Amino acid sequence: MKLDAMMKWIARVLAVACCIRAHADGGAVVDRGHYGAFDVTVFLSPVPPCAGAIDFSILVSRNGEPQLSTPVHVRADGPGGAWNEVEMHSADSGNRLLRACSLTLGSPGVWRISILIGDGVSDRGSFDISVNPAPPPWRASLPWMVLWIPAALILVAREKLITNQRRRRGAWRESDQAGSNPERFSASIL
Amino acid sequence: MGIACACALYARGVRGIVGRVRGFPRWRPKCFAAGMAILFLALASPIDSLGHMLLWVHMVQHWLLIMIAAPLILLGAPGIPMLRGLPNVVRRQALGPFLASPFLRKCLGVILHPVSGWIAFALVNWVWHYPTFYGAALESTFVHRFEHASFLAGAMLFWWQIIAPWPWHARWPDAALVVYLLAADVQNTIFSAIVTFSDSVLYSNYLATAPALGWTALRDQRTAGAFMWTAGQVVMLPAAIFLILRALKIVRPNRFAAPQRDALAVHHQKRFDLLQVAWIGGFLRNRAARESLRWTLVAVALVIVVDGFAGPSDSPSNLAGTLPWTHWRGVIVIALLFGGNFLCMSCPLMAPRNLMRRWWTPHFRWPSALRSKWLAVGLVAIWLISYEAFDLWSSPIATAFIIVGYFTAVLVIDGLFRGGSFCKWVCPIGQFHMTQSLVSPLSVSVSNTAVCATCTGRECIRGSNSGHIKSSSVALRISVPGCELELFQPAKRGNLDCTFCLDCVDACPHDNVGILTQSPRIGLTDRRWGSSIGRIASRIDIAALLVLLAFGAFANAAGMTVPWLDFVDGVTQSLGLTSTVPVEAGMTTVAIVIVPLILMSASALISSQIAKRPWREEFCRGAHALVPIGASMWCVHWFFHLATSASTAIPVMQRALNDLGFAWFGEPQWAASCCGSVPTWLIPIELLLLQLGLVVSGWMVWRGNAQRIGGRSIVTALPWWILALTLWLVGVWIVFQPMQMRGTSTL
Repeated sequence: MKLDAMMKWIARVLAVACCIRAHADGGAVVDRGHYGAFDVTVFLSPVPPCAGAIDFSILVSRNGEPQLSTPVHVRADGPGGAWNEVEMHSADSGNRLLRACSLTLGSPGVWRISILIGDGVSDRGSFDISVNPAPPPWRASLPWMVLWIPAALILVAREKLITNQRRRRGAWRESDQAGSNPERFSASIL
Repeated sequence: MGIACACALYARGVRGIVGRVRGFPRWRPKCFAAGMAILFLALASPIDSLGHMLLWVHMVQHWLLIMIAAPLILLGAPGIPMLRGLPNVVRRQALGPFLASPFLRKCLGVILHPVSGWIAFALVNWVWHYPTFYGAALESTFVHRFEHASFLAGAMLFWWQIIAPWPWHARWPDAALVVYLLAADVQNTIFSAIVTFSDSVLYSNYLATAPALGWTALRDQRTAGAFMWTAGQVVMLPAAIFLILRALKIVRPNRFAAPQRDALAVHHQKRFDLLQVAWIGGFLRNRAARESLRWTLVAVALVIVVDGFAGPSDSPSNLAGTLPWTHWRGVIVIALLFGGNFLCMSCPLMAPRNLMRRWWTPHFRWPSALRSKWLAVGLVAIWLISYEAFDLWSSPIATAFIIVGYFTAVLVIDGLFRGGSFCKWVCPIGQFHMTQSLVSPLSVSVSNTAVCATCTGRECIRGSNSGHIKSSSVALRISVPGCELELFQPAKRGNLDCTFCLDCVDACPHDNVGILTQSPRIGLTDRRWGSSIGRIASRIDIAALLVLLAFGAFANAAGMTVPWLDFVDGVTQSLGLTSTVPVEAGMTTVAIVIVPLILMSASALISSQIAKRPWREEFCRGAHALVPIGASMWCVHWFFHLATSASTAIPVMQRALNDLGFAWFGEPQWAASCCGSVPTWLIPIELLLLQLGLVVSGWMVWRGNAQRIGGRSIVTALPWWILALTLWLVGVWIVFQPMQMRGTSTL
């Protein structure tokens, strides 16, 4: 196979794989139960939840069969009368068996989450979650802020290695001049 | 992204060896591609999503990683191709010292020992399937990714011994490897049996999710155990049989001779030359093409000036309020970061100036008293202070006046004085480009110094009445000036004072000048004498310019943060002033003149005492070392504007065209001129850029000191490292502050 053909083949495989790509919705299960006639499993991310945008994912099934056509809403009632309600869609979820939405829980405290299925009258359920204060914005970016440390250490190690190699090379030149065998310093293919 | 990068590296490195080098037949790339596809399937397909809900699907994912993807990748023998795929400078300069280190080779030998491989494989298998760790991986994306990475790494180490990817040889004989493989199979069997025959649910996470998909958690677990048991053996037993047959010499041993050095040699050892690249190189070499680029930008400048004078006074609605301040500056930093000083090359000021010089020859030489950077230092300082104090970005008329003033100044100065006097000694924007391009990866320099050693004409600086210009097919012979900024190519160090005009390229009769890759070390730490610059340790005026622009980057960015603006308002009110101009001007002066003077002097004093070197030398070297951190802050700042406000150009251009009577593009979409939200990817990129600047600055300090003073280099570098770290912390603080969204409307 020629190289160009191989590259085309790789590209085709990746293209097909991209078409079926889906994110893991992840997160932790925060509630599971029978909401009316439906079995409902609710996932939440991040865990523990912090004030701000929270990702909710929900699996609605009946007799083990995922129900994808029934409308589902999630409502959050927070401290001080704050509330927020969003409809959940499977299009917002990477895993098409789930529905997902991003709900903003603006303040820390205990929030009551209600899941309303269909018209929300008979098929509904609710549970409480405790929302922690939002972390400072830099904390979320902390992994991006410490990369200079390993980079600096690698640079230091590199400099030390170069210094040592130069020193050895100097020693080799001296011993070579003295007639010793230079074979042991044979060059690497790299 | 990682898979795509790995594939690209492999594909680049495999050129020239596939099918030509013994030990690298054509099936290897196919195996590698298949391995990568399986890896992609395991990590980025619905398998990954369903793995959170069903244990057996998760086990399928792990099986794909450790039993299919890992051996296929190793059969592709990725070691040599991926090393060859790396850019020359990375392979030799960055990886070379590590690969040649005897200590690290010993470590690699231990890691690649069969015992290590077996232990890693078994350890990863048992630890990650322990319910506590397994649950943690399911609940955290980061831990889950780490789990998969360790599975893949453990599997690679395990299969390494059996496959012995070319050019490595197996360290144990085939008979021993059969035992090695069967022992791994036994531990897999034990583990699978525990999972399969357990009466209780081991992984409680699936208690909630499996029933939702019509499974009981226990049935799911037993299916997973049975799958691991059988699927593991489906791969391991045939491998063991193959090893037995090979040991009995029923199949030919798959051993290859060590690669010949010549076969693996990378033949592109020459430095990359942009002028040799098809199309781009041809365009850049063409003098007329460069001039037409400048005239195009003259036309754009003219439109901006007209709109600045005649258009709306609201900055976000005016071409003069958006294009120069948001888009042009964003393009500048991208060009400087990834290329070189292409902004001076395409400078529109040079087009009318060159036209003028066809009929008008200046008679005066730039005065000796002004042949330093002090005038430029003053002008740059005035520029930075007036930008903040008078909010130049918010006034289209002021912008138009500045552009007209620039054109007038270049015509007057270069009409009176010979050479590139305006560019070299006056232009504040040019000083910015030339100093920041010290960290650019490309530089106009000679390809082969040996050619220059035999050159007697020195046309690169003297010019040539019979210079050659290579157009696409014919060689024209016309009069070409030498470098107007007095840079003699063989002694040029870095990009300082180079406008990328490429006159030297046209003038060189040996075709020995190009736009070549160059380490920033050359311009920032080189101790040799540089043409027109001298020694960097003795030019205090250049050092002052570099310091001004390094600290100016932070002051300029801080000036748009809400805390700075609140402070300015507070001070203005407490002083009873009606305008913020004096306070803004005062604060900016403190930030770019007073503070740098104190910090730089103190650092230079301390390091000069330790190193027993002159204070002036330490100051100059420290100033050069701070260029990368300053450049990174400029990049962060201006790239932020470009990323958040790029769409502001659309409604402004629609408005300008409508004013001219062209309604083709419809009514202005003013919603696009309002500041967009900050993209989630922007802050990580800003932080990475700042860290890159910090690391390169720290490295420059150390390299510069190590060259001069050897043993005490770390102690001497300490004050400068602290200063760079302080600047970095200021930069990080700026990144996380709420910003005044300049150049955007508040619809």
